[in-house]
Amino acid sequence: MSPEISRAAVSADLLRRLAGFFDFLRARHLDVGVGSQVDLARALDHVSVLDRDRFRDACRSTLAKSPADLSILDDAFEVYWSTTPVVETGATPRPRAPTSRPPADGGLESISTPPIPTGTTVPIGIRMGVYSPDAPGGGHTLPALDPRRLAAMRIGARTLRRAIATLPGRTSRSARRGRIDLRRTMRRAGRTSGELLDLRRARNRRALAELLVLWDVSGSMRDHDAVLAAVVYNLRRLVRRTRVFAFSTEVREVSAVLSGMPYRISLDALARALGPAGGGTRIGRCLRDFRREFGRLVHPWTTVVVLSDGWDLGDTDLLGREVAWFHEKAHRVVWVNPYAREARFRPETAGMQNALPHIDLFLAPSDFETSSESRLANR
Amino acid sequence: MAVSKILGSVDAVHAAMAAQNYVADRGLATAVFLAAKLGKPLLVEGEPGCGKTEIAKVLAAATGGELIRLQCYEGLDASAALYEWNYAKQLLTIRLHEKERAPKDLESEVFDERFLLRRPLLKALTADGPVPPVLLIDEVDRADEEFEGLLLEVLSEYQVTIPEIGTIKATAIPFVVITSNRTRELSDALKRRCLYAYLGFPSLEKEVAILRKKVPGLEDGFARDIAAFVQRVRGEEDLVRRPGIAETLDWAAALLALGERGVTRELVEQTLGFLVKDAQDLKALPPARLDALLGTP
Repeated sequence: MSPEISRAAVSADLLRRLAGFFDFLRARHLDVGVGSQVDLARALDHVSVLDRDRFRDACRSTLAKSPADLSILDDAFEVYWSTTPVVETGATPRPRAPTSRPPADGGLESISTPPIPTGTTVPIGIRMGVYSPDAPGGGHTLPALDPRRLAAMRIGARTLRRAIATLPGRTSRSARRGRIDLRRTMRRAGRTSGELLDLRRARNRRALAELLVLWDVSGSMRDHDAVLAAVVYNLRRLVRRTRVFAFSTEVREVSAVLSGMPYRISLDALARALGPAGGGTRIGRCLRDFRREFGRLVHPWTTVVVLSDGWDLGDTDLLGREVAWFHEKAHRVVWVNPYAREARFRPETAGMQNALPHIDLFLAPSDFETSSESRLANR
Repeated sequence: MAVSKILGSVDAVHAAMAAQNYVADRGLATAVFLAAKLGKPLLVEGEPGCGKTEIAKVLAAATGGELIRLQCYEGLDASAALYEWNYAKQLLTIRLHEKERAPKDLESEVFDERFLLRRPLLKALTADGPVPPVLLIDEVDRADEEFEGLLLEVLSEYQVTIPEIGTIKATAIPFVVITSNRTRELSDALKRRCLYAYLGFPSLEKEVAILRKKVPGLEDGFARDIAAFVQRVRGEEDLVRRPGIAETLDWAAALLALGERGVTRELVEQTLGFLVKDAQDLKALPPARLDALLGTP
């Protein structure tokens, strides 16, 4: 604990209990930094710990940084600062998955997270649904791709970024309309002895994109996991505004494990986050769940990238409707099918047939490699 | 009333917000009180239209401080948020004095505070009114991640470093409210510097209280009917955009303007656009489903 805390007007006994509370929270995967500890200790100069509700509110304000943190903190607070002694069961404290939707008013009453069996690996990111009868055991293995192939795919990902860019970047170009470009205006004034005869204008180039990647990680895609993981990794690295969601019979966000980490470390983290490989795919249902939960992320400037073979064991009409919704709301819908470049490939599955009319760009993972750069750009 | 008294206790904050017709729960009042006491920014996340921006407005009105608003957007940079040199004024000054002054003297003269255009962040730091201003950094999730880096010095040290001038420190620490709709995760560095509050959808009782406060002339029973219907609409899982409090208030005001005193199916059909603002959601609520939501046969 920070030495600054000792300066707060809190007793030694309370300090010990607070330190224990921070450890208790960390064991539940709520990382409480020293800054937050100091904030809480300073807050206790103004809020009495004897007022339980105010004390909890102070903890919520200073220690939590997201709705998921709030739900962990509320539970932990009830257990740790309970007036009745806590019964030790001997089991290690289990983290809880964040609820799919934050509680109304940040309160505790609307939290309905199902219990997680002991020993279950809790994936990183947001999970929707915990149990699925269609999801058999067996984990994801994500072998690393050859570095040269990975680098080649990065060029393809960059080409795609250029093709779908909707947002202004940092570099500007001359334009008839737009903001006054003082730098160019001054430079032009140099030709006329410093007289400002010609106002130059500029606009920012469209260079940035926003991506929502929906990655099918069901059993039928297992053979393509490695190459698709490379596609996802490159897209996440090159397009900063990218959120990645994996689905098979449920949707979960895995963006966090792809942030700012080297390729091999990201693969390990990704394999852990993906958990068991699902057998039955419910693409339509998963897209519907995604729309309900994250539909607000789809904007006219967002490109939705679906990585899937289109084998839907559920309602294929639903898949068509959902892809149509994305087509209507988003800038582009890109579908990456691992079989798209195979000579004998025909989009004959009902799911793929329903989705195809609403897809703007139909690609194969190989299109991302350098040799296919021109093909990707021309599509 | 002095600011220290208005923000002097959780109850005082609660009362001050209530006096400005803002229905705050105990948790939010505690967060506001602690943010004021600890001199830290308050990061408010939550559903759109649930009163995040309103917190800053209410605090400015309650304390009498100036409300300085920075609306964030894609591409927002230092020249729009922090400061910019007044190039035109600099150029004119150079042209006026180029014959009588040496270029080096002129250069040091034009990079002076007089030639600085203060944008919201710098304006909040250098405000010299009797009451510290309230700085609202609205929808920070719309700005680039790089912009968050720009905020770090301002929010942790309450100072700005301008290479040509030096460091400008805040004359009085402003009350900073940062709002986010969670369209993307904010950086840990920014979150660490802030206290946190989450505003979700209100409970029925709270929504009725808000309606009574914000829509004058609304009877209690009618307010309850409106709030109950909105709560049921929010409960529909397949809606993309659930109505926030702002939509409820708009709808209630519209119903009142129409001279209505009760919620009927026909009325809901005619005015549903005030409440549900997505074409797909409107399609998803046909008359039969509205009947079910209203509890009518």
